[in-house]
Amino acid sequence: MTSGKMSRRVFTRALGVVPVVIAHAPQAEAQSRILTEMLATVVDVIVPGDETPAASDLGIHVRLIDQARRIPNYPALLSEGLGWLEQRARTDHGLPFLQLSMDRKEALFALAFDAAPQSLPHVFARRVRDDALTAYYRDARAWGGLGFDQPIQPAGYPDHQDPPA
Amino acid sequence: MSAEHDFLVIGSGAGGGAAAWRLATLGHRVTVIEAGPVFDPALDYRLADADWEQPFPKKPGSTGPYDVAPLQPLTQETADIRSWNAQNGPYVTGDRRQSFGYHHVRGVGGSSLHFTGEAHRMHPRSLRMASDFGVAADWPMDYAALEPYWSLAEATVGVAGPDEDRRCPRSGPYPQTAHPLSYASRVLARGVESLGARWQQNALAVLSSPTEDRPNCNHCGGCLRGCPLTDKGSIDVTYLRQAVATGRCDVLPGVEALQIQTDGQRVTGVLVASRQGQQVLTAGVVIVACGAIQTPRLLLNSADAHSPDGLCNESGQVGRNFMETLLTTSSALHPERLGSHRGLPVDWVSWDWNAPDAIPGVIGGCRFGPAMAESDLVGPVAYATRVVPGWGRAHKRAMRESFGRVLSIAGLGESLPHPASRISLSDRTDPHGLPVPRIHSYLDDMAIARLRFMTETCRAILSAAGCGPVFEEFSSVDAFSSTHVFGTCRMGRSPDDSVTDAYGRSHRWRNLMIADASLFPSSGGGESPGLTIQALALRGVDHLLETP
Repeated sequence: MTSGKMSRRVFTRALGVVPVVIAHAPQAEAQSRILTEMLATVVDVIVPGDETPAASDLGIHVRLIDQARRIPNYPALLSEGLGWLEQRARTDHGLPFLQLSMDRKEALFALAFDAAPQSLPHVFARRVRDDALTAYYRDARAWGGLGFDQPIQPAGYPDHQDPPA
Repeated sequence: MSAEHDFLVIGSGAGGGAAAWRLATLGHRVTVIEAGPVFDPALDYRLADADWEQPFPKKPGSTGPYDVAPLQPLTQETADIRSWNAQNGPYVTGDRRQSFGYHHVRGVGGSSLHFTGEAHRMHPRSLRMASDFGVAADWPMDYAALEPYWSLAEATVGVAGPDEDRRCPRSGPYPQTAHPLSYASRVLARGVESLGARWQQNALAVLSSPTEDRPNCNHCGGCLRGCPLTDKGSIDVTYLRQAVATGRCDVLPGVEALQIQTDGQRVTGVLVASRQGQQVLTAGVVIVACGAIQTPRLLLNSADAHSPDGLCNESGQVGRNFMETLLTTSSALHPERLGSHRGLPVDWVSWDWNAPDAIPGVIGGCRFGPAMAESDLVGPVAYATRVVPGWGRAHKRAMRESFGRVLSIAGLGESLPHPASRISLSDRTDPHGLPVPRIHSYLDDMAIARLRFMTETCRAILSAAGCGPVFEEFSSVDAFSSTHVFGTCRMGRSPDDSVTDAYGRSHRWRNLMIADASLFPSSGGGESPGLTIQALALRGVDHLLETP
């Protein structure tokens, strides 16, 4: 449901809500590195580590960047959405997003998620949340504790008549 | 590709596959052309991979072209039965009914490749909708005429069913023992019982015991993603495999029928396109089995000087009487861990409201059954994105607490013909320059009343099964989303109001037979049509051979 191309109408409306400035890195390579680090942090806000790995431990942020390259408007959404987080971090806390405590990072992501429907921060947070969770739970290393520990084949469910173990 | 053929079958799904099997096993040479590709169960259905939670695979050419005309405006009266998700909000945000697509597979085996295996006969009374209820049209045969062919189809694909079938008389037992219910399905079935209704084990073309060339099912629940074991009785591993084994049947994938040609007296052949280019295949008999969307399109695109309004369209009924899937689903969390991701997709069915007059105040029936798999709520990705809200540590905890607790129930109901529901030719053309089919769908008040009953019953079943609040519903009331499509080349007794006779043969072009659900004069009350399409094809071929 989240793998299709983004609606241009929705995306351009979202961009119009909040003007964004991406980080102050002078060179594209440095900027790309910062975006990657920020996205790794954001996916870990969505899926932090505990007894199963954090999202970035599974490279989910890298998969999202790869996925974004194949979907029109998605790279721009990532860039602008991360820019929005950076801008709010500096405005609200006087620090770059990456230097905030985890609590503050989580609070800023919640602010984006709860923003008005169709606004840039909301569209960004919603999309990254869904795509990060999708990529994470398509990885068998994420399944610990679910009562589900292998793909549905080749074993199937010979125990399907019984209460779950 | 040989240019001359005795029997040329267009389409390799339920009707085309069954027709080819009957011809080949009775000693005739038959060629099946299929516009789509071959799917290799072992290679293409990757259910043993970590990212198994994907829809049925797509390959180049594995869907046919179509478009959908603007759908009707939504009214306030349906606001409480529309499609929605607790996290994502309404699925339809505009002010009109929205298309979610005609879900099909174009490939060798057709849409049986992604079906759940349901193998239903029609309710006997649903064949007399015009005579008894003044709607749709009567089937030009009765239940008894189809019974031997349903039995033959059940034996050929290997249907597992209950010892006792309360709804449909049978000449013998099902070929295979019914599948046991999953633990979660039993909990859901208790909800039906609490409402005073009954359920029975579903009739499924899914092997409960192995056969010579196919293993038994291991209840992975992945039928809709393609069956890698081949225990599911899709057309490619049953009819077509057996037909090809006779040495008299050739199946040609990647060959698309563009136009059917005539000499004014008989059908003479088919213009086809393949990677080798275009050519005409001549044929003694042409059997059209492209489904209720593409069959009328092919006939309308075959208009010529002899048939200016389209082939077989002397009655003006080609493309008319389109009937679609009327569906509602409701999903909720049960307080207990049920392991509800396990087991067959639809292992029981409640037929209590299947008769045409079973729903109070409504003409046309429906049926109910489990829908965890059909709602695609059987894997961690679905839980993470549609069941469990939020993110972070709380989300991970909730995932572990929730997984395997979803119960989902579906109602499928009768779809009756309406003048505004039809297939026409679009202004849009395909790469060959031919118009693609255009789907027009309209729900009248009766259809909406039926959908309301189905939604309210789904909610009541979940509640009676002990579930918490519903978190997601999907309904045809605001979403055109069809797997089963019917009726666009209606069969009948009179050439004035039907496209074919009772055997699927064109009233005018006697060496053209139709063998798909476009023949259905009415849709039934939620029965899956695959088995009946097969039965009609088998019966049609027998008649064709008896009365050339």
